[in-house]
Amino acid sequence: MPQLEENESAELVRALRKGDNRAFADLVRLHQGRIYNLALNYVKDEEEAKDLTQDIFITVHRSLASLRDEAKFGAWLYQLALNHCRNRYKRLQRRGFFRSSSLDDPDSPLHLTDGESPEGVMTQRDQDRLVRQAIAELAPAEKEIILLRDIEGLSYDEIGDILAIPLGTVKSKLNRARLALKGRLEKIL
Amino acid sequence: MDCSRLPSLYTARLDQELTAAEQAAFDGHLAACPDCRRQWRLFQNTMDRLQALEPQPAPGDLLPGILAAVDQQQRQNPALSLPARLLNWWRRQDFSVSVPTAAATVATAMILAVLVKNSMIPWPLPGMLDDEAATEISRSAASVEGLAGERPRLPVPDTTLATTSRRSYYPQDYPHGSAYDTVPTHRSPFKAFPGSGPRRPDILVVFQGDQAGQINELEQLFKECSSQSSWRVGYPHQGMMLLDLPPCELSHFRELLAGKSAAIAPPEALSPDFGRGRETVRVAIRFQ
Repeated sequence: MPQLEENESAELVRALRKGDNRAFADLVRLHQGRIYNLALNYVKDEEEAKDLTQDIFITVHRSLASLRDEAKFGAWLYQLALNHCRNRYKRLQRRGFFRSSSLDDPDSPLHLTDGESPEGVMTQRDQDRLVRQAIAELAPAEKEIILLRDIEGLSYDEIGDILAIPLGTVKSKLNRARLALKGRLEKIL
Repeated sequence: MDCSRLPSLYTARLDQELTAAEQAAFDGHLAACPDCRRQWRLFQNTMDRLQALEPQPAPGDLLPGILAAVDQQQRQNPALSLPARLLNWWRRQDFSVSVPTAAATVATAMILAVLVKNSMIPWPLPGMLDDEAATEISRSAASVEGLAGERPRLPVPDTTLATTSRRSYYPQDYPHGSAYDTVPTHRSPFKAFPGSGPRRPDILVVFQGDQAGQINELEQLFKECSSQSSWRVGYPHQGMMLLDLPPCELSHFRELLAGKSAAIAPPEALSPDFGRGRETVRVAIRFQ
């Protein structure tokens, strides 16, 4: 997260702790976009992503007392959001929510056949949707590291803090996740 | 550098983190290997696609929805007590489990229950009886009158009684046609002796000490018990003996045990009043 936003978040958290309720609205406004996109890329469904984002910020409001260092609000928020996403993803998976939506599934509206060029028939929005779908189909650990690094643009150190893994592991997992994504996207690349 | 090593270096190459020698080897291999060149290009395209991914704008009603939900929560629970917070936490948990997980859990629980019930796993586990309780039981057993001259006996926990019941085979040397083994009595009703209904032993006697000594003492006891006209003796196998006797004969039975290394359960069985009012008392005798 950019340092400027981190500083602004820390100020808002301090204000909120002092009882300024408007600070919470500003805090949500500042982060709702990235958290909504994180949830959307995780569960690949707009309604679920919206609901997840709402749950995440309600938990932020309720659990803010457990945040020790305001300067680390960003990492804390990502940890909390990923926990919510993991739980929701598992629940949806158990209910069969993700069935029949694979890129390789012939019933999927996004199914590509070999030899068909996506460039000619798909808009940028369609291609984005395919990429999001490919990300969503990765294993949770692979998905999370791709989202944090390649979508959110966090540094390796920040990712290590959020996922509680060493720097070397962050890099090796990221490479494996990217290779897995490449394998899924080969048909449209 | 061979083809299989190259993909593991993609991210490091992208981040310019390879050493000069590694980078030269990486680039040299790419120049010479068209397939790896194609794969590297695909990897770069993947990264480009990721970079080009347009963030989706958050729905317009998201912020009002969040603020309304938080506001409602605050009004409903201005200051949550600890039980209320715990209840909320409990409600937030997702306790749904997959069918295989649930099936495995139930199966494991059933297997454990069967093992415990069949005494394949001793219960209570060794060490569960603390020293103080063991001493107290020992003291109460030793204080029972009528056992003068006998060595102190450590009562066996009552739960051990559940380990004695019928099994479906009939040994040749057992005249009454029933057999006993270590299967819980609740598993199937049985007739211990002809004419009697399902019944658990009232007293358990367990011989202790070395194996040869236990066998000798049990055989000796079997002969002594068999000579009693009013006692009925079952001897299903070498490690188990069943005995039905009138309660008034219990003192005689205790005399037969005198001097032998045997433990008795329950401790009340050492009392002269034990079994009073019953027609017979059933005793199971086995090795430790």
